[in-house]
Amino acid sequence: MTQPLLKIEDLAVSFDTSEGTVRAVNGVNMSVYPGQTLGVVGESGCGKSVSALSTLQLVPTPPGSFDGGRILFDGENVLDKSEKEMQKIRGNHIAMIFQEPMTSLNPVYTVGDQICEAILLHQHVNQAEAKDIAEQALRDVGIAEPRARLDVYPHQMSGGMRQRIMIAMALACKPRLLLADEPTTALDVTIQAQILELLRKLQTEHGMSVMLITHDLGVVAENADVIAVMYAGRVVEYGSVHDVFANPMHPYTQGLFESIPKLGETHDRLPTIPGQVPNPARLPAGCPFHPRCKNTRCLAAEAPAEQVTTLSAAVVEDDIPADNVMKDCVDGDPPLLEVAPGHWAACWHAPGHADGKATRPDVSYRRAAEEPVAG
Amino acid sequence: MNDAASIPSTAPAPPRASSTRRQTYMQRVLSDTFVRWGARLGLAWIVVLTFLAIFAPLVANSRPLLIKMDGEWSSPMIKSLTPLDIALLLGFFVAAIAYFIKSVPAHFRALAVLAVVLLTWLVAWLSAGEPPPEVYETYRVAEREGRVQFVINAPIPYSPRDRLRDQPGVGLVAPWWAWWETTNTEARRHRHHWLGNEANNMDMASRMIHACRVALSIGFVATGIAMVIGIVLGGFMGYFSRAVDLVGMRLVEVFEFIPSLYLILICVAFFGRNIYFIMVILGLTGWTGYARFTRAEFLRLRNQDFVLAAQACGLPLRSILFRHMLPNGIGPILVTASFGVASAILYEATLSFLNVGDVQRPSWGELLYQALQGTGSFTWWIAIFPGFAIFMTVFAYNLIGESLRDAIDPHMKKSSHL
Repeated sequence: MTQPLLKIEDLAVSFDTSEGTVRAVNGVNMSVYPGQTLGVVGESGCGKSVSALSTLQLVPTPPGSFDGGRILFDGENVLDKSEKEMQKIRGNHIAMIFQEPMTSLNPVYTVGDQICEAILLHQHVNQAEAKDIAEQALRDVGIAEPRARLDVYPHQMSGGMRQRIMIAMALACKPRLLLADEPTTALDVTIQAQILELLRKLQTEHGMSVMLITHDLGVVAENADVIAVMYAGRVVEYGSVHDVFANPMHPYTQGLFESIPKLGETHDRLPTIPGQVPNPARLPAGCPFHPRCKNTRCLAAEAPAEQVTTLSAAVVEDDIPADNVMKDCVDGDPPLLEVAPGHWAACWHAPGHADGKATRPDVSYRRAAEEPVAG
Repeated sequence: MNDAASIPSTAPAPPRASSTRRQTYMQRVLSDTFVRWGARLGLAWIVVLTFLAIFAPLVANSRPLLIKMDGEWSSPMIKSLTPLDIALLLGFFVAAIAYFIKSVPAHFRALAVLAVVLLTWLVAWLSAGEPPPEVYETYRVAEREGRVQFVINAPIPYSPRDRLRDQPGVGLVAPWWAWWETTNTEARRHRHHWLGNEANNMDMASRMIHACRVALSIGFVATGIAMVIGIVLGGFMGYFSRAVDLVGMRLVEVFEFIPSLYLILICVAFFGRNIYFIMVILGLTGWTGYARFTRAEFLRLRNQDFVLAAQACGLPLRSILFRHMLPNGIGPILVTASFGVASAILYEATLSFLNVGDVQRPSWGELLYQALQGTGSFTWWIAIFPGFAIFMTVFAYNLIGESLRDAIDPHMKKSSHL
């Protein structure tokens, strides 16, 4: 069996803020196999980006601190590595592209300067060879007249082009893992499709693994092999893209799917998940999702009175009424358990959770090229 | 080609050289700065001073540029050049040549010029023997005695320290064109100085021209030292923040309490009058402003995406700090520097005015001091010309700094067009 290229085990990262300690990432488990795309989905502030930045050890410490867990890249824990060793890994073995192409390039240097600097750092080539590699990288990402573009400053380019440049820069050293932190969020829809198509093509060419961080379920459906749904610093559902899309187990995932507009259906108003993402410094007791959960309310309406409690006043807001919820949702934080083979969920009332197995989520599934997903 | 075809490129055609001028941020800022007439005026004044400083021995010298004396051709001016003169003149010509070699990157050319200047200075200084005793009036006396067949004098035929020993008792004379000044007939014979004479018979114009060197160099050396220290310390403080910042800022505060003027006075009392000493002290005490600005800029920049992207590329700290962050935050530092140069010049003038400057070198402040030492009557020409020069130079740097600030700060762009 192939080993996962990246394995994040029980990662916990917290930040010291003026409001107290914020557990941005709380016991996250995920793994990426060679050539696989892991889609990490969740709302802003749920710990997606922190997980990725931790992999490169780019979380500023302080205020951040690693409270536990391991991040195994190629079997070695990157959290144990020194800054010098990390510099050899960053850009060379693990590359990252960021959400904002407008600000991710240094405005004072030409595109060529910036790509060549990374190449010269990690590969034993001279200036002229580095320029050739950079030119090839620009050609790979579909930029016309790559040689001329090397001498262009970032402000002379459009957002889509800059994101292509970022990708070219990340891929110039042929990394084995690409962390793509919302690579298409700042781009308009047609450019999004082009960039994702490009990423997919380059991934098959280079045999690279991708951790695709996004809050766009459509992007995940088209690109990911495996999905990790994150909420409030923990993974709440994990499984192959087919399993999760066909049979979402966690009420948060279900809510996300319901709130996608569908062709051919008429709604007065798109269903939403009520309330806001909780403040990570003051998470509600028990399951962090219970104040917003529709499932627990439905169950509480029919459950015997001793299993039901009223939502505590601390979490009640304008659009979160003080309804009855299930007692176990308030009492304990549900662990992420394997509720069905290859499908993990963290919800007391998910089907199969009661006798789920406590295993680390680990799916090596890779879909065949261009296989459509029923969603 | 297939790749390009399958993925439609969103790219517009690459900018043509004719339509879009490729400019770095710095080039844009500089061109924005020198569009303003104030900055141009300031720059023009600085350029004039620079030329005078470099060519001072050719412009004002008691020794003729070329002379045929007793049937022999010679150039006493060239013989009298000091190592510094040679280094500056050679450096100027190398710089002029380097300006036209466009194929070599600018910073290499600048480094080459600097290297030439320093190397020539070193070589000339090591190979120079004991300077000959300075007898400035030799050629004037020879000319009077009729031994000179041909002579080309400098435009101002007086060295800055030429006390006109062949014309005793001249005393303070006004500029020749000051018709309202009444002088006795004896002194009137000597009233051929452009800017008059000072108390020791030395020619004002010559001293003013040679003083440009001190005025310019003190500004650049003191500011240069301060900038290097300030940027390095401020950079570390801003990038690492936390403990480094805490310690660094306390250091800044400690240094801000040091009254540099009095420190210089004390050091002069201990170690004697040395212009380089004053430059170094000004540099060592004046870096706090640069450190503060650099820190503030780096605090802002360290959270920018491109810094994170540079880190994610695995670039070393040195490259992130000084290659990626510094050029993006250099603007406010340059503005401070241009004001810093002006203030260093003022410092030197103040010290010389207090008569604790370097007496070996002519300086504007020292001339002002002489005006105060008046012999009963107010010698306006000694006060006005150096005062004007100091005022103009400081004003010029302030104008440039002001324009630089406006060019960097887009909100200020409309408010002032100085």
